[in-house]
Parts: sequence; structure tokens; C-alpha cells
Amino acid sequence: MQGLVAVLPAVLGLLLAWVLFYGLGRVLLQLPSALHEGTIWHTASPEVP
Amino acid sequence: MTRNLRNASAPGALELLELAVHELRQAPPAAWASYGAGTLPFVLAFLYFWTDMSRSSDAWARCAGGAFVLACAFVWMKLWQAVFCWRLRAQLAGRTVPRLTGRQWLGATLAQAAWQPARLILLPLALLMALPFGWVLAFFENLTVLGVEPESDVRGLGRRAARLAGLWPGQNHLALGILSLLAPLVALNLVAAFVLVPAWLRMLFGLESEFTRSWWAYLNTTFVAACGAGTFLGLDPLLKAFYVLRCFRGESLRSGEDLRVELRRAAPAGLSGSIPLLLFALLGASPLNAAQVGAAGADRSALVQPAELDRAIDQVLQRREFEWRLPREAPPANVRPEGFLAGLVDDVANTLRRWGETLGRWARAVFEALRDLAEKLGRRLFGSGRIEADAPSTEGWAGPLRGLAWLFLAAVACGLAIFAGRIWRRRRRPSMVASAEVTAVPDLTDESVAADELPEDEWLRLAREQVAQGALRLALRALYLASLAHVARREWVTLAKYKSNRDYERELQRRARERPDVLSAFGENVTVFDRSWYGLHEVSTETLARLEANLERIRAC
Repeated sequence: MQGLVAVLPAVLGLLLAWVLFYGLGRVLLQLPSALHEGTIWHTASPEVP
Repeated sequence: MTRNLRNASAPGALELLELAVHELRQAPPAAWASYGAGTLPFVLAFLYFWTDMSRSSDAWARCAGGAFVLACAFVWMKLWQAVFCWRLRAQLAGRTVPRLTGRQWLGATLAQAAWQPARLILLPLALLMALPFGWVLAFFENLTVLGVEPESDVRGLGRRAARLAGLWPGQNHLALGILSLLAPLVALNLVAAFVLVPAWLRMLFGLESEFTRSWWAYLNTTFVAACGAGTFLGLDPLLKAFYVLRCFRGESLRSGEDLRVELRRAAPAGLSGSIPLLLFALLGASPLNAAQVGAAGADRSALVQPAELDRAIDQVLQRREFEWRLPREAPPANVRPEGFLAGLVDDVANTLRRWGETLGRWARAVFEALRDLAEKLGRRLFGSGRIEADAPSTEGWAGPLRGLAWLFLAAVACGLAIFAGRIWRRRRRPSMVASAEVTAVPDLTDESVAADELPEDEWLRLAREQVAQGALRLALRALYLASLAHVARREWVTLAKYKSNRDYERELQRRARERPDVLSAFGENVTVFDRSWYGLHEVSTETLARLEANLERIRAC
């Protein structure tokens, strides 16, 4: 029981980190590919052929 | 402890940052290895995750798995950063680093896994609210600093970290302000490096990359993430060292450990016995008599002689790197000659004399090194006993060796002089290379042959040769290339490998539209050539004559 009390916060912490990094991954997935690849700036600028 | 006393003992933010830099420079390789072992895998995993999520086509399927690996790498990083801070604290306290037990590893891992993930959400929130950011960051950094403690449990660790985070808020915020000003500079340096390195690679080795082709290649999110990760790697050790120092000073308010460390450092090995006496004297617990102080002073003077110390200080102060500290003083009037020219001559003479002295010193050092080498070789070859037996003295043996060394030096000098002379002669002599104009004959069967490889007359000569050899098809191509070379010379078309015959025809129609004869003659040549070269039409002497006649028509215009 004592061991479980010691391990439980660590497991919860790991789960929290997992959820937060998963959220970051989802945000990155939601962003358009043109932004990730930088091509969005090509179309925004008239100088680029 | 009262608030006044605490504030009085608060070290300044700049002082603490300087000390942090000093501690990092003094940090043993094992400490840096601990930091790298934890942080580099996380940073690499983070960049991989970022790139994967932003580029891969099936990233959706890997998001959860990648996030789990990243979470594990995060806990791993925090554990090793705690070990890094622990080693820094040991260095600060001047104690050896004991080996961590399995229980300590487990305790540290559980504590870091329990506390640190919360920073991922609390730090951005605190940053949004701006005001509590300094305290929240200090709390989590303190958790890292105190993470590897034999007796700490998860709750106790949190309480200690919170207590130390509340100490000296002004110092904490000022240091964070300085570091936040430093961060954009580090990022800017990284961006400059990322921009310059590909440019240099292209300049020096001709290596082309996405970044050298277009500046727009830099404007992607992976590049931004890489710069952010690099900035983090550059500044995070300094942040850790700063909080190590803060925790050390903060805990010393109760334990007095900083005083013990200062005293240990102040005491040289030979004076370790006099330190307790000094302590008693400072605390007023025991009166020291003059004899004891005198004995301690005698011991100290036995270690460093004043004259020797003065000489060492003078030598150090004469180095160029310390000259800027000294005031600029004009030489005494009687030393420097009057007048600009006389002063110039005097300065040049002095400079030459100094150079001569330096060269002489170097030559002496080289000579002595060679002599030592020759002596060592002699001893190895003939044995020390024999040398001593044969030679009446060292001087007697060193004489021939000295001669040998001079001979060797003279040979080296002669070699260098001959080498320099040859280079000099080669530079002066204008290189006369007999050359004759050689014209390479293009292979007419090669599809990549271009019209600009020969002038039009050479193409015509080649066509006649091919006719004489019976190769009418190749003669046709040579004639066509002659006509193409001619219109290119008249600047009616611009030759390029990617252009087709029809492209040339259209270009000619644009540029030579006032010459209908040229257009019709060239157009006919293109048609005839395409039919026979790319098609199945026979090439006869009449066809060639027609092509040549068209070329003459073009030339006549």
C-alpha cells in the first residue's frame, strides 16, 4: 500500500505529460502543411515565382 | 531568521549569474555527461516528434505513441538534470560525489515524474498571467536541484522547493529578466549559424542545399523548433547553475554550509592547523597571542616569498591582455627623441630589436631542444655508461653534438632557402606555354551536341566531310547546326539545351519578323531536318543541297 502511494503520483505525472504532449501533437497536426513547410509565405509574397 | 537578515545576506542577481558561469566552467565532465545524457535524448525526441507531426502523411496514427515516448524522455531528462544539479551542488560544497544507491535513483525518478510534468501546464499559465512566473519557475527548478537527496520524499521535496522559491524574489526576477534578454541573442546567433554554415559549405565545397537555393526554406516550423531547442540547450545549464547557487545559499541560511566552504577554500594545506585558531580568534572564544599569529605568518611567508610574488605579479601585468587596465603614459622626454622622423626611426629600431630578441630566444629554445634530443639519441644508441666512459665530460660529448645540431640547422636553412628560391623564380618567370588551337570535333551522333560548340563554317566543313564519307544523315545534322549557329550569331535566337527546334522557330519569328526570307528559309530547314533526323524520310544529296541553299539565303539577309 505504501509503495502504491509512492508510485501513484509518478504514474499520474507521466500520464499528465503524455496528455500534454499528445495535445501538442494534435495542435501540430491541425496546422496546415503550407505553414509547416513554409510555402504559405511563397504565396503571400508576390516576389516569389 | 528575520526578514532583514535574510535580505542582507541576499547575493545580487548579477553576482550569482557570474558565479553560475564560473561553476559551469569548473563543472567536471561527469556532470556535463549527466546533463547531456538526459537532455540530448529529450531534445532529439522532441524535434523528431515535431517533424513527424508536421510532415508525415500518417502522423495521426503515431501521435499518441510519439507523445508517450516524449513523456518518458521528459521524465528521463528531468532525472538526469537533477543528477547534474546534484553534482554541481557537491562541487560547490567541495565534497566528493557519493555513488547513488538504487533506492536514491528510484526516489529521484518518482519525485521528478510526480512533480515535473505539472510545469508543462503551469509555466505557460504563469507566463500568461506574467506576475507569478518567476516563483513558479523557481519552484520547478528547485525541484530539479533538490531532486536527488537521500532523505527526501515527494511531499518534503515540494515543501523545500516552495520555501526556497520564495527567497529573494527581487534577485530571482532580475536574473530571469537578464536571461530573458540573453535568450533572443542566443537564438539570433543560432539562426546566423544556420544561415552561414550552408552558405560556407556551398562557397567552399560547392554543396547545394535547400537553404542555399532559397531563403524561404528557413521559414518552416521545424527550423523554428530547432532554433528554440538550441536556445534551450544553450541557456538551460546556466539557469540550472543559477538555481543550484540559490538553493545552496538559501539552505546555508540555516545550515551555515557556505561559511564552512569558504573557510575550507581559504585554508591552504599547510595552514589547516591554524584555521581553528583563527576561528577561535574571530569568535572571541580564545585569545590568540602574538607568537601564534607570528607563527602562522611565518608559515605563510614560507610558502610564497614576497619578492617572488612581486616578480610573478609584474610578469603577469606585463602581458598584453592586462595592458588595457593600465593608464596610457607617454615615455619620459629624455627617452624619446624629438621630431616625428627621429621618433619613427627610433620606434622602428626598437621594434626590430625586440623582434630580434624574440627570434633569438626562439632560436635558442629550438637549439636547446635539438641538443637535448641529440643527447637523448646518443644515450639511447651508445648507452649512458659508454658515453660517460669515453667522454671526459658532458661538455666534451656535447661539443660534437652541438656541431651536429648546427649542421642539421644549416641543412634545414639551406633546404628552406632553396625551396623559397624556387618558389620565387617560379613566380617571377612568366609561364610560356606553347599551345596550338585545337578544335574538338563534336560527335554528330550524340543528341546532346549543341550548335554553339562550333562556328558555322566549321559545321559546314564537317558537313562536307560527312558527305565525302557517305554519311548523309550526319551531314544533314551538321548543316542544320550550321544554320542554327548562324542565326544565333546574328542574335536572332538564344541557344539553350532545353529549347526545341520549334522554340527556335518561334523565337526567330519574334525577333526577325521583318525578314520574311529568313523565316521561310529557317522554317524549311527545321521541317526538313525534323522529318529526316527524327522521322523516316530519306536523306539525299538534293535534300542537303536544299538545306545549304536555305542557309545561303539566311546568310544573304
